[in-house]
Amino acid sequence: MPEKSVREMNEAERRFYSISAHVFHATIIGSVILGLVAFLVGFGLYAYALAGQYIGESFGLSKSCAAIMDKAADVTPLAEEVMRVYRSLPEEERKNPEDPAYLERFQSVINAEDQAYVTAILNEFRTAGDVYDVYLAMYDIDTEAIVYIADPDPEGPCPPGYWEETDRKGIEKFLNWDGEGKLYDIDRTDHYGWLCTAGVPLKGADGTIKAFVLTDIRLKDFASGLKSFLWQFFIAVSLANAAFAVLFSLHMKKHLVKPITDITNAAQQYIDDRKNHVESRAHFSNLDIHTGDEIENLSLVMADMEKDAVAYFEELMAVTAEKERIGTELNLATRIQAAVLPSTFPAFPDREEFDIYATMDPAKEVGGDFYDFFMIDDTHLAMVIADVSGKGIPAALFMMTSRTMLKDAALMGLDPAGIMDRVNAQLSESNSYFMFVTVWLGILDITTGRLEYSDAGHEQTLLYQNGSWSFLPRKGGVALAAFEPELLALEKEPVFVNKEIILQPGDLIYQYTDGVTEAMTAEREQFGMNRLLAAANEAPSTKPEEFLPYIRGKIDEFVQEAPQFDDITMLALQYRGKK
Amino acid sequence: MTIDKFSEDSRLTIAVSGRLDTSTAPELEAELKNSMPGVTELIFDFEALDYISSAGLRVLLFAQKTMMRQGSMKLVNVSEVIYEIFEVTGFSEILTIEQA
Repeated sequence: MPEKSVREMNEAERRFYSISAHVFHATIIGSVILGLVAFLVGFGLYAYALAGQYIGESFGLSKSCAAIMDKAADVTPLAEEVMRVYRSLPEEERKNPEDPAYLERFQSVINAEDQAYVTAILNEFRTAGDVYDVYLAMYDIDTEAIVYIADPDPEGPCPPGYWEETDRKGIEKFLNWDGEGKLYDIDRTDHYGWLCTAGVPLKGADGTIKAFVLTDIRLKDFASGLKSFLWQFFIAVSLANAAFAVLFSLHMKKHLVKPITDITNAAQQYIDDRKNHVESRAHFSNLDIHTGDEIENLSLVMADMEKDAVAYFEELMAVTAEKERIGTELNLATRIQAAVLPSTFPAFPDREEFDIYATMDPAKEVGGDFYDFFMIDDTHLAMVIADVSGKGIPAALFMMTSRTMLKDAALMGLDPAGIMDRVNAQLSESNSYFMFVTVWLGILDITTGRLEYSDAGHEQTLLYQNGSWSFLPRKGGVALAAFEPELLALEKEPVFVNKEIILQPGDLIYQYTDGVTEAMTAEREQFGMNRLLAAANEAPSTKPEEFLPYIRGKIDEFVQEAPQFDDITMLALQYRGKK
Repeated sequence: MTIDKFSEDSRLTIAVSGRLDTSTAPELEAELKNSMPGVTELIFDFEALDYISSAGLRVLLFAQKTMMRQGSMKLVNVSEVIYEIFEVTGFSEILTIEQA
C-alpha cells in the first residue's frame, strides 16, 4: 500500500497505484505461476512421451536387428562359444577384462567369419537408428556381468569376451522376460553415465536364451532432445503470458478503470463547477458507461444523485434568497423603527427645567419595546414607555400603531388615564391577532414639577427623591388592546386612573421594560425588582445619561455570558425645576 | 414546555409546565385551536409553570376571548411569581385566577 493518500499523489504515482497497474501486476504474477505449472506439466508429459518413444524405437531397433540377424547369420554358436569360454575360465584369469591374455582366449570367436559380419549388421542398425550403440551381448547371472559378443561402438568397441559388472536386478529382468511389452532398463554406469538399454533375446534351438541384441541410448542425447523443447515451450509460454497480461489489463482498463476514471472526473468537474459557480450542467447524466455491471449502476445512481442535488441546491438557493430578502427587510424595519424613536440627545438643549435620556436595545432584529417623549405644549412634557406582546414584525407593526395613537391622544390634551381609555378602545377595535401593549405614560408640568401618570399594565416606575430610590405606587391598569372597553366597564372601578406626584428639583424618574427585571443568567435567575432597586441606590450619578448606562452595566454584570432574551428599554427624566 | 390535557365531557383542563415564551407559545396556541371547539369550561393548571412571557399572555388572551363566547375559563394553581406578571399587566383584573 502507498504511504500517502490518493489525494496527495501526483499523476505518475496515481498511474502506478491504478487498478490497471494492479491488474497488470496480478495478471503477470498469475500467468507466470500458471505458465510455470503448465510448463512443469507439459515438460513432464513431454519427457514421458519422449522417453516412451526412445524406448519404443530402441526396442524396435533391437527387435528388427535380432530378426535380421537370426536369418542372416549363425549368431547363437558365436554367443555360445563366447559364454562357454567365459564360464570355463577360472576367476583368476578373467578378473581383468582388459588383459590381452584374457581376451586372447576368445581368439576363435574373433576370427570367426560371422563375428565380423554380425558386427557389420549391428553397425548398420546403429547408424540407421541414430542411437549410441547396437550390440550383441549375454548376461551371466553367476558373475553379475554382461559379456560382449559383438560390438560396433565407434568410441572403442568391446571385443568378444569383454565383460562389465552389471546390476543383478537388471540381469534378472532381462533373463526372466516373459515376452510381454518392451524389455528395457535404465541404469547408471560409471563408464557411460545414465543409460537406457532396450533388448531382445536371441534363443537357440533348445529354446534357451543365448544372447541379447541390445540398443543403448545415452540420456545425454535424450536431454538434448528435451532442451530444444524446453526453449520453445518457455518462449511460447512467456509470449502467451505477456500477451495475456497486456490484453487482460487493456480489457480491465476499458471496462473497469476508464469508467471509474470517467466517474471520478465527472465528480471532480462537479466540485470545480460548484466552486466556480458555473451554472449547473449534467456531469453524471452525460456519462456514456454501458458496462452492464455495478459500474454502470454506480454511474446511474450518481446521475440520480446529481439530479437530486441540483434540485435540492436550487431549492436551497431559493430559500436562502428568500431568507436574505426577509433579513434585509427586517434590517430595514429595525432602522425605520429606530428612526421613529427620538434618539438625539440632549433632546431639548434649550430646556433647562429637565433632562431626559432613553435607550432601546432590541433582542431580535425588530422589537416590541418603545419609548417616546414630546412637548404637548410649552409647559407640558409627555413621556411614554411601552412593551408590545411578542417580537418581530407583528410586534413592530403594533408598536408603530400604538405609538402614533398615544401621541395623537396626548396632543389632543387628554389626561393620562383618558389617553389610555381612548387608545385601548382604538386598539382593541380591530385586534384580531390578540396583541396587547403595556404602557406607562406620564405628563410633567415643567413649571411646577407636577407629574401626572397612568399605568396600563406596565412595570413599576422608580423614583429618586430625598436622596434615595423607591417604587412609585401603582393602581389598576390593564395592558392596552387586551380587553375591549365594554368588558373593562364591567369592573367595579375605572381601570385606568391618574396618579400624581410633585417632583422636586434633582428628582429622577426611571422607567424600563420587563427586559430589565427579567434579564436572566444562564441558570435562569432573573435580575428582578429588588436587584434593580439596590443597583439604583448604589448608582454614583443621577444624571440620566450616566444613570442608564450604569444600570445596563449592572444587568450585563449579572447575566454574564447569557444571551439577551428580551428587548431592554429604559427612560430616565431628571427634573431641574424652573430657574 | 410540556402540555398535558385532561378532558371530561365539555370540561378541558390543560396543565402547562416549564416556560411559556415566544418559542413555546405557538405550540400552546395550536393545541388550543385544536381542542377548544365544544369546550364550555376551560381550566389552565399552572402548578408547574416556571415563566410566562407576553407571547404566553397573548395566547391566554386568545383563549379568554374564545371562551367568553362559549363558556368560562379560569387559571388554577398560579404561583406567586406568575401571579405577579398577571398583576403587573392588569390581566388579573379580568382573568379568573386561583392562586396556589
